[in-house]
Amino acid sequence: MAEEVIKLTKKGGSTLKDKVMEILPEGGNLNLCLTCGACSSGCPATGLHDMDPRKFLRMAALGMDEEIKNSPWIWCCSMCQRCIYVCPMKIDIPQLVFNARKTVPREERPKGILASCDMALRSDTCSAMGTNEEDFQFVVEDVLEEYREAQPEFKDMQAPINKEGAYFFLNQNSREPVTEPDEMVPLWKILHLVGADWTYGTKGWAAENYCMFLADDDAWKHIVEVKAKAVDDLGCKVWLNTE
Amino acid sequence: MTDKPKKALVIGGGIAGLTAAWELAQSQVDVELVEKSPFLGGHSISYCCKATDECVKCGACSVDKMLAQVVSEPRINVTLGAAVAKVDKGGKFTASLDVAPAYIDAEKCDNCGECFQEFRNTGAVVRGYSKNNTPLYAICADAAKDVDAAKLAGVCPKGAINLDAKATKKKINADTVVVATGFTPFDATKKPTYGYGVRDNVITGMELEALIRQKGQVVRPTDLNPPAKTAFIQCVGSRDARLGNLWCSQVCCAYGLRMARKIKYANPEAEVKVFYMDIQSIGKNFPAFYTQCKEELGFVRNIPVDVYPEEEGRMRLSYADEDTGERKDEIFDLLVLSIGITPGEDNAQVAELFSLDQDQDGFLVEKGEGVFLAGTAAGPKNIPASMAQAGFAASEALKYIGVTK
Repeated sequence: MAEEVIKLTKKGGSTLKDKVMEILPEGGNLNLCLTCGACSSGCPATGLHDMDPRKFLRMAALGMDEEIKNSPWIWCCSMCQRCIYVCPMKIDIPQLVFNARKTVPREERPKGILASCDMALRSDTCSAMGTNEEDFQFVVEDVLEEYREAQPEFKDMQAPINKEGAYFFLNQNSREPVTEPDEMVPLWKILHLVGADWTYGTKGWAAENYCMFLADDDAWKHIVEVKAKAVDDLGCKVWLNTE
Repeated sequence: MTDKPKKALVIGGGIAGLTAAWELAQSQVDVELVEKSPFLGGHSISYCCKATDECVKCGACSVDKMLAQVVSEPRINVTLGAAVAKVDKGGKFTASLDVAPAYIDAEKCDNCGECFQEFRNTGAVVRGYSKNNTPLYAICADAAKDVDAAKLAGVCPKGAINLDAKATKKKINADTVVVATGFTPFDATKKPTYGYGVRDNVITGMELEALIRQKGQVVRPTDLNPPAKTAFIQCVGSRDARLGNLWCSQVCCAYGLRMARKIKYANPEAEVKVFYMDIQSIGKNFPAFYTQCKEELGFVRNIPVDVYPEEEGRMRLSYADEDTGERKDEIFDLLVLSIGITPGEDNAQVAELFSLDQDQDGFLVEKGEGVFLAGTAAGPKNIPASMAQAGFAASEALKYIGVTK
């Protein structure tokens, strides 16, 4: 509970909430909050930086746009959408968070997310860690060979790369080939056991999209388009993104 | 007046139907009261007295009082286990009823209860809540199929049980109709994260009412011990656009807080927390009562979402703590879901039979033509409001048939 009286600085005019309501179907129901707090009791980011989804929405309703913009909390949200799922009034809090991020100038957005987006924009791999095509292919083939030898029951397991016409095009988060290569294997085993026809691609292989979390629409769109083209170029039917 | 008495048909034997029937009978109108279950009293007959050291005016006792008046009123004829199949209107109303078999002969049964003692665990014999119901017991046909029929028929010292009884049909003529078909309690399994129906110590407010009425105190379903820590979650199934239930059910704050305080009164060591969004403290006495509650109960202005199982049938609730702003976990012995009032599940059929409308939420709306609505069939109400409104419906019906002006 607030110890001090909050002074509202907003002097009329259109607020962040008003602007977001204009672009969302049904205005995202942003005016329907009954302050029940179900969003906050289910949110993994509740309590971080003295904020929670209910408080955030209330601040937006009061036009406290500056305070929202300056709160690191808007960058703590993982966009999991649990708040809207549990909200009895279906209030689109995630979209409000996303649009609050856009009010921060790009160069002032959190360094980790910003640098990851910029790195992904540099090549067609879309890897936020900058892992190139050759390194990805090498790690996959190396790990595959190791498991086929160590586990004879998986001696026929495949991890195809650039297999034209495969049914599934599978993405892979950069973290696994770079820091935890063994973590790729369980999914390969499942795909092997069910007899799935799948492939990785050297282009557009990275699953992550930090540009979305950065709330940079153009960059987000670019990343999606590069990956979609990679899927189409191999003639795959289904794009599996595990993120 | 020497005219033949007018006749009214009252559909539903809950508190609203009982009150309407009684009021009509007081104006020398003959009443046919039709109830689909084997007992009079509806939902509210199972509600408990919520008095602590003083009466808190919940109205639960008035249901049994009204029931007693109705069954001893010669102008009121009660038909139990009956469903309306068809209604014809040509000046007067003619209702065709399908009446379930009377396996227990009301004339012979003296409510001794031996059948219930013997067969209660099988579900073949069920007991009503009010001793003013005759018979106080009923045979549940589905469950009775699984027991020894000869033994069940022979258990009654008065020979009142006849398992060969057949369903019958009945026609009732009436000059006016009062529809008092009530509500359907919200189905708490539609809020699945609370674990209702999965965890035994998650119960609804209605179940707590019946539990207190039967046992005289609050006990956990699993071990029948008084709970040291109880949580109430308010607004379960009400004020929820996701469920399509936008209304406030108007009764849950009152029954929730009254039962919460009863727990505390019976056991001052017990801890009770109420999770709420806002308290609808409507009514003359309720604001003062709420003030007392704030001194004795914990209030958390946050609706929890997740309920996790803990050892010994306990539950852990996660919520955002208002004082610290942080997420907090707390373990409870008993979780009570304050479920709301939803439109009667048969409302579409009832509307069709009696030429009524339904509002956007599904509650019934009068269209005139001699059919009047009483109680929660028309929308959420507590017991006193249902009785008051049933009295109004009866007075409108009396005007319609020309008994009063």
